[in-house]
Amino acid sequence: MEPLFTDIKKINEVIDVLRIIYEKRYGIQNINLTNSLKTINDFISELKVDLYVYVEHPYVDKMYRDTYYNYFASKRDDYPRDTIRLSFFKSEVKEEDFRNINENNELQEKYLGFVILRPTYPFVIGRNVISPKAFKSNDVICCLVNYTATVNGLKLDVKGFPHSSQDQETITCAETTVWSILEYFGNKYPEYRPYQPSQVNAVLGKFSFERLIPSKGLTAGQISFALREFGFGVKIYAKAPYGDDFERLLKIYIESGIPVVGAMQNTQGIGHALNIIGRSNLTKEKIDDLSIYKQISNNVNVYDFADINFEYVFIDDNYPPYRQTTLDKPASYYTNPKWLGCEITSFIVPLYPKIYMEAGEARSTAISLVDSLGLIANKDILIKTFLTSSRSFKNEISLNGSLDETVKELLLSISMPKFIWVTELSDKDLILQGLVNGMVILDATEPKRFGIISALIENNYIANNLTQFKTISLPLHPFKGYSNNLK
Amino acid sequence: MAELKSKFDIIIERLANKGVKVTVIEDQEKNQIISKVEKTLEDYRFDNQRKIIESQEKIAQVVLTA
Repeated sequence: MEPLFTDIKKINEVIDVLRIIYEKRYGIQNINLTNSLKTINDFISELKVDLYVYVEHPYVDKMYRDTYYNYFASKRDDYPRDTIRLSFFKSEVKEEDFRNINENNELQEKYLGFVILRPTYPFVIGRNVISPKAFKSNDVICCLVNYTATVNGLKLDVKGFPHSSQDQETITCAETTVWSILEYFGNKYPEYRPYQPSQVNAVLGKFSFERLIPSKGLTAGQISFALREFGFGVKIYAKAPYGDDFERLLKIYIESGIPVVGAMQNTQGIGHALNIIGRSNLTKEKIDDLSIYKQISNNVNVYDFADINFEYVFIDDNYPPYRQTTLDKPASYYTNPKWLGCEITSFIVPLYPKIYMEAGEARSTAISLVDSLGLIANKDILIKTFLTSSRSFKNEISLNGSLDETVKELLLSISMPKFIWVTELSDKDLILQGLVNGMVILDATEPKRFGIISALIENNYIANNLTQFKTISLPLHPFKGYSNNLK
Repeated sequence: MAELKSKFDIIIERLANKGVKVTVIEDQEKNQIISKVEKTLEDYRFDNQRKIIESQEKIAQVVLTA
């Protein structure tokens, strides 16, 4: 192994350092060098211009080593085992800051994540976890996971979504999409664990009649199969049968903080998988554009949050992370004309296996309950449906300073399953302030029976106490809505 | 043996003592509400069953190459 080289540079000076490392340590030149540096430049040009970068080589990356030992080492050409790692900081850092224990908190505050550069020219962008805050365009909320990395001997944390580009040989879009999902859940919840690409391939191989390496593409069905094998309770939705509800259901799952695998296609033969992990922030213009979803009894117009035309956040292995576009034009950031006309034709939701009620059932039940109770009359309501763990929900309720204390105690006194569906009720003005004035809570583990746990509607707390429905009249002022799913 | 009261029942009692109106919805009304919601859900599930099968067929045909 070569001696450790490190350097700290402003982001606009990094390419020069990398050129020297590639020439002196990897011995690459000409087209490979030019194309690899272009790939890196395209990636870092998406990042803010005032970042500082800690460059280190050699770096042993577990993901690249996995593909190296399982594939690249078996080829005639020599492939290096080691990678380069770039660590990003939001302002200037110095070598001595890493040894000054008083600077630790400041370094942590500045740290924005890392990217691995693999020697798989020119597809060099490897595993990376970078905070959305490092990117020029970052007015988004999305699923993020905490990652710990050691930079210059110091452990630092970053919140980001795991991303890697394809190397075009061992991993293409299907594998990176599955890997990303596993990396996210494996680092976030104790029920799951991260897997390396060779382990993903081994599972995908159980459902394949063709060899998987070199990777020539898979079907969306294989992704679904692999996620099931890794312990998820997978739900799949195709655009053709679901029609108008297709996008609504997709948005409900994203709003639930679940990274969803989208499959996009066009008539020119493109088939591509990516993760959809979040959305842009709510604006008045988007709310104003919202049309009525349906009218229910008592002259109540229902607007659905899932009809808002947000820009969604994509983790696409052909581009740097956190690409933003609308769901109806998912390939709008592609410049190659082959990608014209792409649309999301299906999506796969990696659910916790004991979530038995699906998004459409939850939404229909909530609207039907509001309609049947008939407590709301002559007004417009806006519904927002999402899934959450009862643990997170109760924690937010406990900390909600704007919620009436009695209502809070009533909500906290109910026994709940591990996951619940919540439909918040508000209107166009309240939602812009992050406020709601009612909610319906459903049992996500109930696939057959009446799964309503409780509801807050128009100054009434409705408790479904198995044998009885109790209505408790309470003055209900608008309170802060749930916001823990997307950050 | 002492009665084992749930936290919810204790809160309800406390609210009732404070004069908060607590109404038990009559069985007939409750059943009407449940029937209506269950009917909506049943219709949704019936329709959804076909969509699930069609989705499975479609998704098996999506070849991811890019």
